[in-house]
Amino acid sequence: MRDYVLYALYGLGSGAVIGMLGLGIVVAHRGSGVINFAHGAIAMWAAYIYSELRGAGDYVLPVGRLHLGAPFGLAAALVIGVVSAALLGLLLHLLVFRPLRDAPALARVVASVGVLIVLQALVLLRFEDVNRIVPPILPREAWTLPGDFPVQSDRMLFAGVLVVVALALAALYRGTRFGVATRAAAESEKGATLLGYSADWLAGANWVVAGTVAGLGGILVAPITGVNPLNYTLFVVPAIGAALVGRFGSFLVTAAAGLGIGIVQAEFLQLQGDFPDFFRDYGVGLREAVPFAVIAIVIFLLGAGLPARGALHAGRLPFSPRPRPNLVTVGVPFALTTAALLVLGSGYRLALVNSLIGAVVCLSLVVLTGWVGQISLAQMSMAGVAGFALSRFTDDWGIPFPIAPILAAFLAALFGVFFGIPALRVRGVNLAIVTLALAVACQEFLFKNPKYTGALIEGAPVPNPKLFGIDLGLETPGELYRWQFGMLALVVLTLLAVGAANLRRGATGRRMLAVRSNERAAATAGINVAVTKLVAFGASAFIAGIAGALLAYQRGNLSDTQFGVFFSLAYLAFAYLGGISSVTGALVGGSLVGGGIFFYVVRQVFGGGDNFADLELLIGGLGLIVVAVLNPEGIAGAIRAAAGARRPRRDVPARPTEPAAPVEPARVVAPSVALEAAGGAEVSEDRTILETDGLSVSYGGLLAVDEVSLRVDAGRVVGLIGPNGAGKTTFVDAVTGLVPSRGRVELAGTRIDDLAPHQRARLGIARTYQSIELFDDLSVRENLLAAVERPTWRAMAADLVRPDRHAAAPGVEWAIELLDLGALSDAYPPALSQGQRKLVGVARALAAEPRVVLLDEPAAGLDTGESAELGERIRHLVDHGVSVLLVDHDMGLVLSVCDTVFVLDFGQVIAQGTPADVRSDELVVAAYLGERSGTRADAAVEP
Amino acid sequence: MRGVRFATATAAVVALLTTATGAGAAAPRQGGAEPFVIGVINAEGSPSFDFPEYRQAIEAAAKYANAKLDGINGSEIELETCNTKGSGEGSDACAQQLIDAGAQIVLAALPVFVAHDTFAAAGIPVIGNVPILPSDFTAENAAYFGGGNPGVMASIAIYLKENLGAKRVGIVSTTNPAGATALPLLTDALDELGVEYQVATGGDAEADYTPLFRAANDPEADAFVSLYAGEGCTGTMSALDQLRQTDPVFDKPAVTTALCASESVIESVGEAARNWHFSGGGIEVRKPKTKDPDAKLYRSAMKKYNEEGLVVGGFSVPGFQLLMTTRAAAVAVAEQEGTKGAPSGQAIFDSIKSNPADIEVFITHEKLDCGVLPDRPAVCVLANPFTSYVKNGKFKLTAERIDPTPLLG
Repeated sequence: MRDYVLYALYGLGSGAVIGMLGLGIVVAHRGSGVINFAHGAIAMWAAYIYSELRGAGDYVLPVGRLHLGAPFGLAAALVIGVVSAALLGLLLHLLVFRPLRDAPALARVVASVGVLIVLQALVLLRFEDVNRIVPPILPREAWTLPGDFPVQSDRMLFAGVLVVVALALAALYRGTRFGVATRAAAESEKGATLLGYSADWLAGANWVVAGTVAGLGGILVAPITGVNPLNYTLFVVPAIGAALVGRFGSFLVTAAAGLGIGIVQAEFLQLQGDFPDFFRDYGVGLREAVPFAVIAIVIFLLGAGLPARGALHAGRLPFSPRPRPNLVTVGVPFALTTAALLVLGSGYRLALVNSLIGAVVCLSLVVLTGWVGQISLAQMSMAGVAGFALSRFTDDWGIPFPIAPILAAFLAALFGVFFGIPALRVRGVNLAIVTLALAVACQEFLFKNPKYTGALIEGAPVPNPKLFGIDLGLETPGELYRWQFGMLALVVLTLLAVGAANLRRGATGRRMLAVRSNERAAATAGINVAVTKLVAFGASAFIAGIAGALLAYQRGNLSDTQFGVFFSLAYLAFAYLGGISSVTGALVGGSLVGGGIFFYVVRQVFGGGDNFADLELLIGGLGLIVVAVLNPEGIAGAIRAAAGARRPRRDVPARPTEPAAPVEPARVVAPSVALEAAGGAEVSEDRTILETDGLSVSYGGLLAVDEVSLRVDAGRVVGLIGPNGAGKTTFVDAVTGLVPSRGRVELAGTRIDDLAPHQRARLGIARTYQSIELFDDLSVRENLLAAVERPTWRAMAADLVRPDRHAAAPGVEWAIELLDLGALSDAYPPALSQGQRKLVGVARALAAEPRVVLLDEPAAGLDTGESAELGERIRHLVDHGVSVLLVDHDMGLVLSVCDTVFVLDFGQVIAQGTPADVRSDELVVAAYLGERSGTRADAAVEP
Repeated sequence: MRGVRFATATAAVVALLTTATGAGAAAPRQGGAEPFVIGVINAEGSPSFDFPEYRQAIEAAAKYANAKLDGINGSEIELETCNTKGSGEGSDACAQQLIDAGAQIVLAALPVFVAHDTFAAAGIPVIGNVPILPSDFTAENAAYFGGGNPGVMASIAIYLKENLGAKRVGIVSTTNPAGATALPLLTDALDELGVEYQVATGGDAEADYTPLFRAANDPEADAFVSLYAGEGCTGTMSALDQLRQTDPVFDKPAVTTALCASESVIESVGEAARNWHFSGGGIEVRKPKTKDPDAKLYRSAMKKYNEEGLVVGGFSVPGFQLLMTTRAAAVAVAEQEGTKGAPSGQAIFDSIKSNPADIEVFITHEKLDCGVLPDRPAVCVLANPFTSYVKNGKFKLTAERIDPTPLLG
C-alpha cells in the first residue's frame, strides 16, 4: 500500500504537466470553440524563447533575432516568454481562427494542425540546439512528506502551481464580467451578441489568456521535461483527455484529471514491477494508453452530454460535387500516369508511387469525412492494421496475392466499424478526439507489441506480391522502383476511385450526404443514421487498409512508426488541402504527400537539396493554414472554380424544364405492407391513423408535453395550435421519435413508441420541420430520393458499379408534381427562396407516400396567397390518402383547412373540437390573449 | 511579359524532362583515376533524428584524404550526401539520388532507415557503424563496424558485472522499437551472467522520467542502464541528475549507449552527465597530447577541415572513422591489385568482408571480422570500449575493450 501511495506522489510531476496543458486547452475552447491541437506547440515556443533568453540573451523571432545583451534573469525571461506566448495566441486568433469562425469543425482541426507544423518547423529552423535542459525554476530539494515519503520539491510545488492557476482561472471565469460573458458566449453566441458582447473580442481575449497559460505552463514544465520539438506536442493527447474529463469547462476538474492521469501512469510502473511477466507479454503500451482509456470512458459516459458550442453560425463542410467518371475523366489520367510510370526515371516513379498510395489514404478520408461528415484521426491506424495483418497472412500463413491484401483490408474494415461506434454518441471535434485516442491505443497496444506484429528483431516482413508468377513488387534483385508496382498501385487507386465515385452518385451516397447535412432530418426521413455512419467507417477503413497493404508491399518491412498518430493528422491535412469532399480532391491530396510527386518535382526544378528540405515542413504548414482559411473546398475546388467547371446546378435554372406528366401516386402500399408485417391492421377510412395516449416529454424538471392524447383519423386534417412555447414542436418530435417520451404512440393500431425515428418513418410517419432542415448537399430531387430509397446490402454493392440504375420512385414524381417543383428539381436548397425551401420540405415528407404527415409550421414565411394555396394542397393530400397533422400559427389556415383542432398550452391539451368550437373556446382565447375570461360564451377567437 | 513567362515555362519543362528521363539506374563504374564517388546517407533536421555532426566528420575526413593522402590511390574522393530525415520515404529517395549520382559505395552514417534492397539491386554496397533495424544485420550487401544492439547490449551486461561490480541493475527502457529490441538482448545477457535486474518501461517521451528511475531502483540497484536515445538521452540524464541532487541513493553509475554521448547531448545536459558511462570510445581523441596516431590525425584533420572545428564527442568520431576505415580497405585492395586509382565499390566491400589485409577500424584498432555472428552477417566488429564522463566536458576510458562474443557466439 505504501508503494502505491509513493508512486501516486511520483506521478504528480507528470500529472501537473498534463494538467497545465489541459487548462490552456480548456481556455481556448471556452473562448472560441477550438480544440487547439497546437497548444503544446505554443507552450514549446515559449519554452524555447525563455531558454534562449536565459542562455544567450537573444530574443528569437520567426525571422531574425534580437541580441539583447547578457543572459536574462529568471523573472525577466519568464515574463517575456509568457507575453510572447500571449501575443502568439492573439496572432493565431486574428490570422487563423477568427477567419474560420463560420467554418466547420474540420477546418479548424486542420488549421490547428497547420499551426503545429509551422511552429515545429520554426523551432528546427531558428534554434541551434533543439534538445535542451533548462535549469530549475522552482526550488529543487529533497522533501520527506509525512509518512516517510521522499519526493522532489519542484514536482510538488509545480502541482501546487497547477492548482493555483486552476483556481485563478475558475475565479476569472466565474467572478468577472469577462468570464461570465465568455461562458455566455460558449452557451450561445447569438445570445451573448444580443446582450452587447462581441463574440469576436471575447474570442480574441480568450486566445490571449490561453496563450498566457500555454506560455506559463511551457516554461514551468521545461525543467522537468526538458525542451525539445516533440514532447510538448505528444503531451497534447493526454492533455485533451484531461480537458475532456473537465468537459472543456471546469478548470479544477481538468487540473485534477491531469494529476490523475499522471498518478495512474506512475502506478503502472509499480504494477510493472509487481507483474513483470504480464507486462512483458501483454502489457506493452498499457501504461501509455491510459489517456486513451480516460477519453473513451468519458465519451461513452457523457456522450451527447458533452458540451457543444452554441455558435452563431454552424459551419458546413465543403460542397461535394457529383462525380462523373467516364472514359475521359478516368481514362486520360490513367493513360498519362501509365506513360509517366513507363517513361520517367526511377526517382519520378518512386514519387508517383508515394502519391498513388497517398491518394488512396486521402480517398478513405473523402468517403468518411467529406461525404458523411465524420472526423477521424485514425486513418493510418487502419492502414497499419491491414499492413501488419498482411505481413502475418503472407509471411506466416502463405496466403497468396490478391487474397491476402483484400483479407487484410477487410480486417481493417472491422476495426473501422469498431472505431465508428463512438460516432453514434458524439460528433464533430469530440469524435475527432476519441478517434485520436483510439489511434494512440492502436499504436501502443498493437503495433508495438511483437506478439501481434511479429518479432521485433525480424521486423514485420512483407514479401513481394506475385500474380500468375509475375512479380509485381517495387524492387527485385537487379531492378529498382519497378513500373509493375506502380501499375498495381495505379490500377488499385483507379478501381477504388471509380467505386467511390459510383457510391457517391448512387443511393448510398445520397444517404451519406443526407446524414452529413442533417442527422435529425435524415432519421425522420427513414435513414438509419447509425448504420450509415458505421458503413462509412467500415468502407473508409477498407480503403485505408488497401493503402496499408500497398505501403507494406512498398516497404517490405513494417514498424509502428510508419503508422503513428501524427501521420493520421498529416494525411487529414493533405486530404483537406486537396479537397476533402471530392474524389478529385483525394487525387490532388495524394500528389502533395511527403515524398510525393509535387515536392519531388519542385525539388528537381528548383534544385532543392537539404536547404529546401528544411523549408518543406514550414511551407507545408503554411500552405495548410492558407487553404483552410481561404478555400475550404481545397485545391480541387479552386481548380473547378477557376476552370468554370459546370457544377450541378445549385442555382435555380434560368430555363424551366418541361413539367413532367402528372403522376398519380400508387396506393400507399409499402407503408401498409410494413405495418401489416408489424401486426397492424389494414386501415379503413373510419380508422384512426395516428393516436397518442398520455404522451409526455420532460426536460430535466420541465414538463414540456403533459399527458397529451390526440387522434388523427384516416382521411382527416387535424390541427394542433397553441401559443409560443406550448409544446407543439416537442409533441411532434416525440411522435417522430426525436426526443424521449412517456406514453403511447400508435400508428394504425400498432404501437411505435419504442421504435427509432427511421423505423417510424418507414412505417409511414413523415414530418416537416419548423426550421425546414433540408439536405443542403443534395439537389431537390435527391432530397426526395433520399427519403424514399431503402437500403439493402445488395443495393449498396450495386451502387459500386451501377449507381444510376433506375428504381421506380413514383412518390417522388408525385410530390414534385403536387407542389409544382418540376422547375426546381435540379436546384440545390441554398439557392432557393424561403418559401421554395418550405415546399421542398413538404415534398420530401410526401415523397415516401406516408400514411400521415406532420407539418410543422409549413406556412411560416408565406404570404396570404401562398398560405391559401398551401391550404388547398393540404386538402389534396387527404384526397390522395394521406392524413395530416398540421401545426401552425396561421389561424386562418388552420381553421379553414382542418377538420379537427387540438389546442395546447403549457404542454397540455386545453381544448379540442371543430374549428368553430375552438374559435369560441374561452380557454383558447385566454391562452392566446394572456388572460382568462369569465365564461366560454364570452370569448371568441377571431378567424 | 508573355514571352518571359513562356521562356521560363519552357526552361522548367526542359529541366524537368532532363532530370526525369535522364536519370536511370546507373551501373557502378570500375575503379580508375577518375573520382571515386562515395554516397553518404544520414538523418538530419527532424525532431527525433538530427545527427549533422556525423556527416560533417565524414566530409572532413574526405577533405583530409584528398588533401593529404591522395584520395584513394590517386582517385579523388567525391561525396554525394543525402538526408533521409529518419524516414523510410527519405531513405528510398536518398537511395535513388545516390544511384543517380553514380555512387560506388554508400556510407550509412546514422540514417535510421537504409534501403538495402535498392542498393543491392544497384550493386552498391553499404558500409556503416551502427546497425539499427533488423535488415541492417542481415543485408547481404552491408557491412557494419559495430555490433549494433546485440553487441552493445551484451557488452553493457559484461561491463556492468565486471567493471562496475553490479549485482543488481535498474533498467529504464522504452516501448519504442529500438528500446523494445534492446531490452530482451540486455536481459538475456544479464541472465547469462547471473546479474539481477528490475525493468521500468516508459513511453516514447515522458513528461517526467524520475518515476522510471525510482521504479527501476526498487529494490535498490547497484547501477542503472538507460535504453533511451534521442531526446530521451537528455530527459533521462537530466532526470537522474535531479534525483541525485536530492537523494543520494541514486548517486550510482548509469550506463547507456554512445548515442547519448554526442556533443549536442553533452552540451545540453552539462554536468548532469557525471558518472554516466557510454559504450563506445573515442577517448584518445579527447586528449590534446594523445600518442595514438589515429587520434592525432583525427584532431588535426578535424581542426582544419571540419566546418565546426575540432569536435571530439558523440558521432563525429564514428563519422571520421567510417570514411577512413573504408579508405584503408580501398587502398589495401588497390595495392593488392597493383592498379592506379580506386578499386570498385564491390571490391572494397569484398575486402572488408573477407579482410585478407587485416584492416583495423580507424581509432579503435579493432580488426574487422565480418560474420563473427553467423545470424547477423553484416556485423564486422563486436568489441566495444567504454568511457565515462568526468567533468567539464572531459571523459575517461573505463574499459579499453569489452568483447561480447562469448555471450553471443
